[in-house]
Amino acid sequence: MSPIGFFILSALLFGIGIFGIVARRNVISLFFSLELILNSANVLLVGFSKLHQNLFGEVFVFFVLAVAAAEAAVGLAIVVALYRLTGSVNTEDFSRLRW
Amino acid sequence: MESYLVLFLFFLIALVVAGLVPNINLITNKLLKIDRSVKEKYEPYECGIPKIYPLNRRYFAFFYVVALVFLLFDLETVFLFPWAVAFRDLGILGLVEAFIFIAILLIGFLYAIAKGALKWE
Amino acid sequence: MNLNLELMLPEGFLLISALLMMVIDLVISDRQKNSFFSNLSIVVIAITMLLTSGTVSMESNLAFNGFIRKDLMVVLSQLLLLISGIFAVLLSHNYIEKFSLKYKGEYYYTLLFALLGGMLLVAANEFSTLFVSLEVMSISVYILVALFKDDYRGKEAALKYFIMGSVGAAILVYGFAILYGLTGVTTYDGVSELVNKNGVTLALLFSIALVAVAFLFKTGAVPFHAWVPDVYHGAPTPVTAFMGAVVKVASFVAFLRLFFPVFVSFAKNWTPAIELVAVVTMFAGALLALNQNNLKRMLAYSAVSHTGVILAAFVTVPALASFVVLFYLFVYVFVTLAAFGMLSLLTTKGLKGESAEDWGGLYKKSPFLALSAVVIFMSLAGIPPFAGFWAKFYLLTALLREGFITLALAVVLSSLMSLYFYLNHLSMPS
Repeated sequence: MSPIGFFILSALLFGIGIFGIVARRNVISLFFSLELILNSANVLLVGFSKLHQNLFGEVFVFFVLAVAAAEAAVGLAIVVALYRLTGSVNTEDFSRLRW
Repeated sequence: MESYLVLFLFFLIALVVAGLVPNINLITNKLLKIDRSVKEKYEPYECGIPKIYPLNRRYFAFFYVVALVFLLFDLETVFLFPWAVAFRDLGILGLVEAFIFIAILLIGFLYAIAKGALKWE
Repeated sequence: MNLNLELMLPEGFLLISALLMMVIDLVISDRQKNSFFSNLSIVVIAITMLLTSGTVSMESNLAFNGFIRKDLMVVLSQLLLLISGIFAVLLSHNYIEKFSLKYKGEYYYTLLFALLGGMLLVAANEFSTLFVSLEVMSISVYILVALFKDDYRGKEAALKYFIMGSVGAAILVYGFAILYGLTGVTTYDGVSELVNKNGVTLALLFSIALVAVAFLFKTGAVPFHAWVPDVYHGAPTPVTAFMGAVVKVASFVAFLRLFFPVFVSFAKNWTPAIELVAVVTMFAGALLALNQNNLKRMLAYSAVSHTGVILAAFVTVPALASFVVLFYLFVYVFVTLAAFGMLSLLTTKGLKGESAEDWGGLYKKSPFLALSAVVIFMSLAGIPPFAGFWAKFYLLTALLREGFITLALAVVLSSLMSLYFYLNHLSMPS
């Protein structure tokens, strides 16, 4: 089985994720992009795990998934707290810390 | 390869069926109904009560805490699957470790309950 | 199976105590929480320090089938982390009294969880262990930054830190995935062995670059330093001290321990890049600090500049880097804690104390604080009798011995530039 499909898929996901981080201004979209980058790494890990015929990669994926969930929970909580204070989820509105 | 083709065909048929079934009602309705549309028919309350505020306003997602707690506890169970697969090889040590893991999760769960994250009101 | 659980006693104790604090927090009354939990945290950290000193040994020991490695450098940096943890708790107590915080128990045990993450991070000897402990530390710090209620600045800082830190972590995982693909294992020992056998390839260099970028994100080196001033400024001052000390030490030591054993045989390939980043970072930090009116922002840019100096020590691998970096971090941690601690003290005493104008006439209000400010700033700048000088001195001798003369010159020049802005702040008219 050729692993090239895994590489292309994961590279595409990684690229989309990085593009989203750079281009988007909505915090929720930023979260989506973050998850895309993490999942691109997951795709790569699973693909390599298949290639090498061992399970280190897949176990790593479990940890990445769990950590990503914790990260998303904390991030969403921060966004909700900010939304309560400012009524916005746009990163351009969160730039008072410059003077 | 053939088995995959069958699977794909099955998938396509499932897609078509899944698209049709919920809409059969709507489609037959559309074909059979008598068209007498007036402006009031498109109001939110057909009985004539005027609406007070626009219906597409934003409302606060109060249950987001429940969603977050669900997300976390749902994903933590992912660690129990590898343990289940390697249950016989790990033996008593694996059992103890799994219970330590559950105990830590339980503390988190107790915390969530005590802080009222799961109150439905 | 080689678990070696007795090596993990300090971390286990810290974890269990933090979990118990979670339970105690649910039953104790709110009024006595602050004092109770700050005392309890100090006791817990002190006991953890005792247990950690018990694991000191000259040879390196493996635990959890080689996923954790404990040698002298690890144990020393763990002790350093724990000491900074104690100071952060001490600073937090008064700050929480002054700015009422709803989640007092949460604050203290989240701080302990962050310490636990840092301790595991420096001891990690495997990719997924490194990633998980890095995230335990980072997520805890995101929470600490955002925890104070109605504090807009903290929340904005937390969001910025969260996004930057998570991007860094995601890039780190991608780099690790490629490394895993090249070798088929995830422990440092296995990876370094196989990587040395296969030789330099483009994919290997790419993965090294990704991992390095992730650590540069975490340590706040120049192309990725944009979050540092905002986060240091927006976070509550004790948390800023904690970040400046614990997060920095843990990420630098993990950075060094990943690059030193695993990639050391291609040092020729990556040291020029680190050298460039180091030089740009120290000058950018010093230049940007020049016209900062806010003291926390000024200290943040000075932290960026120090990051550059520490990175400069990385080029002396394999001979001297571990010693120089650890010694520099040792000095830097205490000076940073002192600087932010003083800011925290001024804030809690109601002297405001963040903008430079507030510092005018400090000597009349409190001569002791003013004198300690002089000592701290001189030490940060690296003036001879103070500790900061000796850290830079060892670094410079190491650089000169390995023949990095231009880099040594850059360190000296950037130190002189930073001296200018420290003195500028000290000579504020009243």
